[in-house]
Amino acid sequence: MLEIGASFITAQASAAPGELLNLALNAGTVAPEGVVLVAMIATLLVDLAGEKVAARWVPPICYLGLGTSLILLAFQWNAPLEPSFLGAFLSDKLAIAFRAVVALSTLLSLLISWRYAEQGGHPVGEYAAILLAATLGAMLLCGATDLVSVFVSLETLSVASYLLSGYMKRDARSSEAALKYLLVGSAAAAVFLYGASLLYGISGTTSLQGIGDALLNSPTPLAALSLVFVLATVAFKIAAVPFHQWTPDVYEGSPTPVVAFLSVGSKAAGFALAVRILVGCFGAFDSQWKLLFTVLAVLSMTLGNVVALAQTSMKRMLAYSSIGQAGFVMIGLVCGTEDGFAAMVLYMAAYLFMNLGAFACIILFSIRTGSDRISDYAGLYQKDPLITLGLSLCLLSLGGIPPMFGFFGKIYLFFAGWADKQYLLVIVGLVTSVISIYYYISVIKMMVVKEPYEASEVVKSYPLIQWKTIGLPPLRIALMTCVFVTAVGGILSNPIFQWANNTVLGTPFLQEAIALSGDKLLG
Amino acid sequence: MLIESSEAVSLPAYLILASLLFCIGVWGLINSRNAVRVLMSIELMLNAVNLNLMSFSSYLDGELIRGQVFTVFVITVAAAEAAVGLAILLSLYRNRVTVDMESFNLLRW
Amino acid sequence: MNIAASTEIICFLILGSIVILGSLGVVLLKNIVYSAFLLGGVFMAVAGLYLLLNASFVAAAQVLVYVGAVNVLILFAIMLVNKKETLKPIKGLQIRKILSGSICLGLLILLIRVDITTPWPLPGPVSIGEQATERIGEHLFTDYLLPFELASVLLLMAMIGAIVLARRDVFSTDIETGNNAGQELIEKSNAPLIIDKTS
Repeated sequence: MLEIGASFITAQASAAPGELLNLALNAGTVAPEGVVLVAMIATLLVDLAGEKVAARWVPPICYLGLGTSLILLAFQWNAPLEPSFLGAFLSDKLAIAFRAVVALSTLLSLLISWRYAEQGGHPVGEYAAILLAATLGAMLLCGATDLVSVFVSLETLSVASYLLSGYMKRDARSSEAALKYLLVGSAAAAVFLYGASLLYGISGTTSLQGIGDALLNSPTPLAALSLVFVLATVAFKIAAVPFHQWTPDVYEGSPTPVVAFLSVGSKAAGFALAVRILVGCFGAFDSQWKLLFTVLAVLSMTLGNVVALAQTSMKRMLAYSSIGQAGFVMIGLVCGTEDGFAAMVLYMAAYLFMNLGAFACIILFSIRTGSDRISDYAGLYQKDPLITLGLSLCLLSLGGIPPMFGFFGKIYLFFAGWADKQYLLVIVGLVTSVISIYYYISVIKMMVVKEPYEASEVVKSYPLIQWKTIGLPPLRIALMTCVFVTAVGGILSNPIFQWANNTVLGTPFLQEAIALSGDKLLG
Repeated sequence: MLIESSEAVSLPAYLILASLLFCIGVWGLINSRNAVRVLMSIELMLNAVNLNLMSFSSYLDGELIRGQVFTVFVITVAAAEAAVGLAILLSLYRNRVTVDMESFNLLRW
Repeated sequence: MNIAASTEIICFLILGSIVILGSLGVVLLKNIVYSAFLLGGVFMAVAGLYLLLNASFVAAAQVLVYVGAVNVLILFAIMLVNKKETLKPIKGLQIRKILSGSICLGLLILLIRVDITTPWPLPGPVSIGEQATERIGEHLFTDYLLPFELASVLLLMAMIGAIVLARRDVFSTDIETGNNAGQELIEKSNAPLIIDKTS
């Protein structure tokens, strides 16, 4: 598997030109991405017929494409594992799980974006096409096993994200967010590439497996340096402190549905990349990267949750809370045990629903009132019980209050951390969880406890609730789905536990890493 | 090709040149106040990476030259990034009529 | 030392000094137009280094894409946003420059140190020289087929996105209700993201 491409190329030198076409590319594994690509092109073609037609037909095309993609992913679950594209892509269970999270997050983000885009007067066709391109990049990133594919898919995701965050082009905040994101992101990509070029120099190959083997044989200072470079970029992608500086500004300036995608889909792809590179490739530097990641996790949990306390804007608060949440997920990555990886997958799935549910609620609120200030939510329960209920449940779940989905995900993470003797991480996690509960509850208190005369001006002049406008029914469906899963997922979490554990069991490179660290403990 | 053997200049010479270029790019990235100059510094960093890849490809992987293919991809992506960067810069310039990074760089808690 | 080797060393030294001096000019010169032209010079010199490394195809790509497209794009950017700006002085700018300069210097020393001390597995396999272009083609259609296809999606998406963002006027009404729309974020700004010191 390691040198398929290389051996093929050398064999090719003597072969007849026609034989080039008879390759075992095993391209069926990227069928889910292919469907997304077809949906993207169909969206662009439909968009040629004018805005009215696009607004009518683009949504069903996107639903169809992403839905088919999810179904194809489900069919891949039990398929035999073979590297495709001569070692550029591997559709193991970890890749399938993270690709499903990405595709689902795009589907939900699209459901909540139509009304938002239309109300701002933005062309929806191109918006959907760029978001689908970002999805394509993120999905391929989850399974890429070669530095070149990692780089190109990472850049597809990033460039699409820059464009999306600048999509509200008459708004200085949106353009500014896009410019900041672009400059920081391109710099991070350049740093990643420098690390990648050093890795290529050490190992003479671009396949992650080959690099991992080469590093195992000769761990040089150069390899440690490239680890730092690569790690910085991965930390940028998952917005870990101190590489988080761009997050609050970008999250505040970008269109809210885009923020929803960035905080879930893009982050999930970042975690998939982190697992694949750190566990699969830097196995020789196990203790070093774990130490660095411990520091990053502690800083992220502390800073993210503490600074979120002081926010007045809902979007900014969720930005900092997402930094903190990334810190929690990193606990699972640092453990490196079977439970740790499974907890990571489980928490990502829970985070998908609870975070997108919260975003659906704040988008609905801003569509109706044009505000995202926390103080404007005062007294909302009398005017709009649905938003109040949905937002409360999602925030409680993010904070980790018992019967919700998020609680089980978080407890599993802490359990895995404790079993692996990561006491510092677990204690910091527990303390910052309590802090996070405080600011989540204070939003809920703002909505529920206030007397009618204490309600904010915005809520006093709240418009009549109506769902007729095109674009609002999908938003309601997304909102109810997310809130339902968040509320019920915890109680019915056994199959999801099973699923997360199977994901780890069905991923060969994770099993190797677990076995390796087990040997170290024994020997 | 002009020169048959490429052994006269050693591999570390190319690598040192690339490191110099990379560090100049990093300095420019941190200190430029003009957003266009920041974009230029990023291009310098990418060129340093390309130089690294090309010299590794030539000295250590002469037969399969994967580094050259990697470089072709980096060049492609850099062009796309520059185009998107220009578009974003233009749309920001229409809104704010400045390209001074200091006026964008307000990090708030 | 034969003539070929000394020619190569001289070429390397000349091209290398153009790269270093040019890139210093790019980041240090006051006038950004000079910087942009120097950047073109740096790109050309790097292409020359690729020729020294027996990679004519990549050298051609470098000239076509970097000099022909990226550099021209940057010149356009400068011309489109070339309002004379008197930059507001900022306290501690010099200290910041020196501080970041010393950090970069440290990074440079570290990089050079590992470049020299690492035992590179030299000499590698024999270079295929002039067949490089064919080999690149083989790579692009075998083991790098997936990134190759994805790059085309990336370029398509970048083109569409850049047009959408840079285009001046599109309709700006809510197509469902017919209301005017400002093409702004729906959330009204609470506090400006940038504090405009001029007004």
